[in-house]
Amino acid sequence: MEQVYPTAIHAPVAHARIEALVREHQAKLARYVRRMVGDPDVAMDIAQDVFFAAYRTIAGDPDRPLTAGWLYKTATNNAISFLRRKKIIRFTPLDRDWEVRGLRIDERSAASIDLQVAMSRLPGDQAAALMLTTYTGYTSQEAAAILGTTADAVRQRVCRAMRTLRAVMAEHA
Amino acid sequence: MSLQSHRRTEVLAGAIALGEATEADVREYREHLAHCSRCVAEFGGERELARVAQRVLDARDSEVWEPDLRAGVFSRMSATPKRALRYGLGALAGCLALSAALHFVVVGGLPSMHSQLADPLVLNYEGNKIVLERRSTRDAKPPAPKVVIVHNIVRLARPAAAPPAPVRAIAAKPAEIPRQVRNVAVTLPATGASNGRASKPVWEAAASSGAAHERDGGAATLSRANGGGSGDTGNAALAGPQTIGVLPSYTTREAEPEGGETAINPRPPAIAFAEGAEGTAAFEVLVDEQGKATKCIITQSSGWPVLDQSTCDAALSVRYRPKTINGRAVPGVYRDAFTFRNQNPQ
Repeated sequence: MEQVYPTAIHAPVAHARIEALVREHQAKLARYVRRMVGDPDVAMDIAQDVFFAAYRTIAGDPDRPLTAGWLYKTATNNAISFLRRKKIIRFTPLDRDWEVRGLRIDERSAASIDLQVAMSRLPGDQAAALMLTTYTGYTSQEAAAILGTTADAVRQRVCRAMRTLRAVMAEHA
Repeated sequence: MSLQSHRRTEVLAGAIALGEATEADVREYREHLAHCSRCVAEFGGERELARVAQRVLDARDSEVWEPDLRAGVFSRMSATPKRALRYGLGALAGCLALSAALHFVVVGGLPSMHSQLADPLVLNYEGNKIVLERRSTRDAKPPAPKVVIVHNIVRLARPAAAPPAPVRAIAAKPAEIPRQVRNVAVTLPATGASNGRASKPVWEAAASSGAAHERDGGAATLSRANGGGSGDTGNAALAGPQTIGVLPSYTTREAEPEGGETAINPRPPAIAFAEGAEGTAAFEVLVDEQGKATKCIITQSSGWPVLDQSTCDAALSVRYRPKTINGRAVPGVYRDAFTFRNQNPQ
């Protein structure tokens, strides 16, 4: 990746735009990444990397429009890359609570635990499609643009992810 | 149901779960489920899809985590110029080092590209005149001296072969005369000194009839017997002075390096040839019974101590086969010589 650093003229503009982006999207983006990777510390690192990448992009071209979709696209790619690296040493936990260790105590509702257990079983592309559409609220067209695929492919991935979630819900009904 | 039909059903189920399906999509999904129990078991109907989607929304609504990323992001943003400066200085140092390396290579290593052409070689090939030119070496660096080390095949200062032992006259004992031997003519010796090897006397025996007996490692006794002689043949049956020699039949092998003469490779330092060192160094190596070189003596100096020393170092560094007499190892001497010449390829 090309290293772009802000000039003295662009730095104040980049700082202002990044601050606005961080204020608006940091919580949603961090939760989204936490659902993807299952670890809040890793989620914060990835989210910081995303905002820092946005800062370098804006610093290189202050006139470039940077949307939330760009942030989620970068976060999704980083999270999938992390999951691929993690897959080497990944093991199957026997305890259901192991999957929700990244959630706070007051967040461990039945629905939240079901979703996190299902996320741990899903491949990265299906998890990203499910989270971008049902969790984040993007349409299948917008999610397809973020993931670089078609809307039908996103719907198919959502269907398969929900089939896994339905199986998890049936296990602990 | 075909595979395409199931994939289409997955797309329709996803659209219904996301609330993006049209009436036609819902109708198509219902028609498929009416005939496909597998899809009913996996996805369920529209209400089941909505229930699962609502589960995701419930999970999202239950989250209260509010991370604050501003401190981490802004600290990295403020550290960026320092990192850029560090990278820039590193790149500058790398460029300077590369430039210096290229300078030394170009100035010191490459030959001049402006040398003149001289000494053309003209060839006539089927009526075509071919002119080959080679570059003059006037402004080129003088070539490195080429060292030629000649291993003298004919050894120097090799003593002449020892004369054969005197023939001792004995009277043939009747009991030792082979009965088959008749008219034995003995031709005296042809010593094999020309091959530079052992001084083993070579005896040739020709029998008009019968067999000649030769034993290695012992004294062979040849005698002249009378025809069809039985055991009672006496001296009276022999015509003339019936004496024959007891031949010193022994086998000697001189000491020599294991791997042959080429095993010794003296390597004088290059500075010696740069100084013009040349000459022939003859040496002797004392080899004990175990084949170990115990001492090296320069019998003919090359005039350059460095060449003599390298010759002896090489001679002492190799393993030898000891001298043997009748198979028994004894101390011996190996003699050899090397000629060092400083030959310029031009």
